[in-house]
Amino acid sequence: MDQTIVQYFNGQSARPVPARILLFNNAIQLYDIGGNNFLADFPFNGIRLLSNSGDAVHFSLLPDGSQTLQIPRHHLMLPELMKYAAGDRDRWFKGLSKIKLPLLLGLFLLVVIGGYYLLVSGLSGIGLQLISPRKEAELGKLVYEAMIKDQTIHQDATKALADFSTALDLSETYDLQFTVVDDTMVNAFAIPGGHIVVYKGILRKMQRPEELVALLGHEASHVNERHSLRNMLQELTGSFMLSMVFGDLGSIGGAVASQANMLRSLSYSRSLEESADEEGMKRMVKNNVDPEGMVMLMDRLKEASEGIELPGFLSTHPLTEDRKKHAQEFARKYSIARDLSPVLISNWEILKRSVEKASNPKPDKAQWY
Amino acid sequence: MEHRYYKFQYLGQGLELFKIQLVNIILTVLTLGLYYPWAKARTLSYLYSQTHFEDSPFSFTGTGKEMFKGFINAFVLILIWYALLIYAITTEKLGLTQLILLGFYFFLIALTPFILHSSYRYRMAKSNWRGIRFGYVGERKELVKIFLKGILFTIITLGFYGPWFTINVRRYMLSNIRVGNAGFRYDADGGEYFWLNFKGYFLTIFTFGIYFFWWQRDIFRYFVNNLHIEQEERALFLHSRAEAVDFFELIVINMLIVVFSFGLGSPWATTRTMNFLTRNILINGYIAFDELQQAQESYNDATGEEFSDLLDFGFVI
Repeated sequence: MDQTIVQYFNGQSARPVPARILLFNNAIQLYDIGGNNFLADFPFNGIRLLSNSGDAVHFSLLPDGSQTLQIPRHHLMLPELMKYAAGDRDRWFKGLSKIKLPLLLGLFLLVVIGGYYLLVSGLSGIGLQLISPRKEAELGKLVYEAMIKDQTIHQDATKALADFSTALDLSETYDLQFTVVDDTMVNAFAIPGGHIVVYKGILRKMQRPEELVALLGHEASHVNERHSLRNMLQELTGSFMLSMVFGDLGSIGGAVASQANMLRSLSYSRSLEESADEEGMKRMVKNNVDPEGMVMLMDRLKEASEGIELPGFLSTHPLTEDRKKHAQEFARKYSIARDLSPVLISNWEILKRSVEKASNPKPDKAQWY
Repeated sequence: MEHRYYKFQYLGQGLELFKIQLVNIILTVLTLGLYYPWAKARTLSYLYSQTHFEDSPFSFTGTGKEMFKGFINAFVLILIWYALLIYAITTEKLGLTQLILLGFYFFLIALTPFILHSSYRYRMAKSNWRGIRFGYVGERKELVKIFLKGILFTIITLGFYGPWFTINVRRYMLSNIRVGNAGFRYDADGGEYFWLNFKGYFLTIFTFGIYFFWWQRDIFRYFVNNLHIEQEERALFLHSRAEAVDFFELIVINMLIVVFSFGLGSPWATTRTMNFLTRNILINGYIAFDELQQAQESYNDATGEEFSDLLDFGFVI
């Protein structure tokens, strides 16, 4: 095959017109092969490389793509034409394309992961602003009612706990409400909007009022910092974004991605626990209670967890040595002998008595471990 | 004109596509998504230009700028809907929220033929081969009629009309695709399609999923074998030679590639799919493509194209 002849597609028909080319005047000049008559010319800046695979190289001659040129791979003018043909006109794309692959991959990961975190926290932050504490409390009430339905409430202890907490300053925004469940499980949790549920079992394990203040401080911080709501919103925006990105890949990629999202939210809840510990201890100091109580509470929970599985407060966020160490450091800084107010002590004693008492006349549906 | 087979191949490399998509994603994230239309144009034009028919590449001539305008149009419409919905939720009137939700679904169903019509017009006008443009010449009114009838009958027959509906839409749309002065024809029958899926569905259940690959083969074959191209009295036929084992290999290996690379390997999966398509669609017939004439007009409105993208419509219905 004659390597000097190119095939010109003139946009009128799909029949190739054999031609010879010359490059001058910043344009491709086309001549027919018979009489060397001028056919057409195309300025370089409108020429784009179409395909460089296969036996020939294809160029688009006009921006609308309606005329093309097929040049044999060994045509003498091909290297020069490749130089003139405007590649991608997008400067950003061109710049990034020049980067070596490993570096590009690193940049990709950085941008994607960074962007993901920024967007998730940004979007859920907006959501957090839109939901008022009042709305949150309404929502929380529904959750509370659903959760408490199958539980027996320990009336005396509930009242005693309420009295105990009135002497404490636990929240500025939320009207906290306390419930003691008549169950020997060692458990406690907070519901968005202000309900704090404490199980009889954990109260029985406690030896000092400071421990109870630590527990209440921790749970109140979950409420104050809107941890549950934040978690929920982050998971929502996270899975929404993943579905946007992975939508095209079908469900498989999506499934993998959502697993990754779960992993992320798990580690997230771990950090929320730590922040609740920290805020809880700050609350203790504010209420003039020795933060050492948090360390004691953790020891108590550790004792309780030996050999048995603990639900709720512990199982979703294992009590790690790190957390205890953190509490110890904090306590060391702020620990000074602090006398508890007589009100707290007397309320503590009433509460302790009521939970130590044999259970309600109704048979206890306690679970024994 | 003698009968012969035509050369159809995909020459793209997974690595090249991978690089293109890496840069695309980086720019899309950095621009908070605004770069998306340009990214899409680049990916499409790569895929097109690596697909060669008779040693000439296809070319996608749509631009990011055109699609960006379409993207904004479609985006604004969706944004308005979300704004209405959020407003309804904040007023705490359940009835209003439900009304807006319901209204949106009706709106969406009513809009579907319009979106399909407009996205086909754009996509076809921006596709060419040897400079000869494709075109979609269907009437919007006709498509809307097919949709109205299809939705009504599907509801009345509790869904059994679905396969007839699908085939009617496909037949109308595919038969109105032109390339230069040649045209596509799609001859398929709702009844056959119904039994094909009926058989596929139940055999897949009875064989605990193994029959799935035969079902896919049949669906693909039904799609390809009923499609042909006509130019005056001459015709060109498409024929699928993909077997169940080919589908097994394509689907399972693609799945493994995507899963184990956490999605990063999807350009290689795409490359495998393109190779699968070009290798398994045999094209033969009598058309002399040298006689193809430019005949389709250009069209630049990408609103439908982007709308269908935002709502995740598949391109081939």
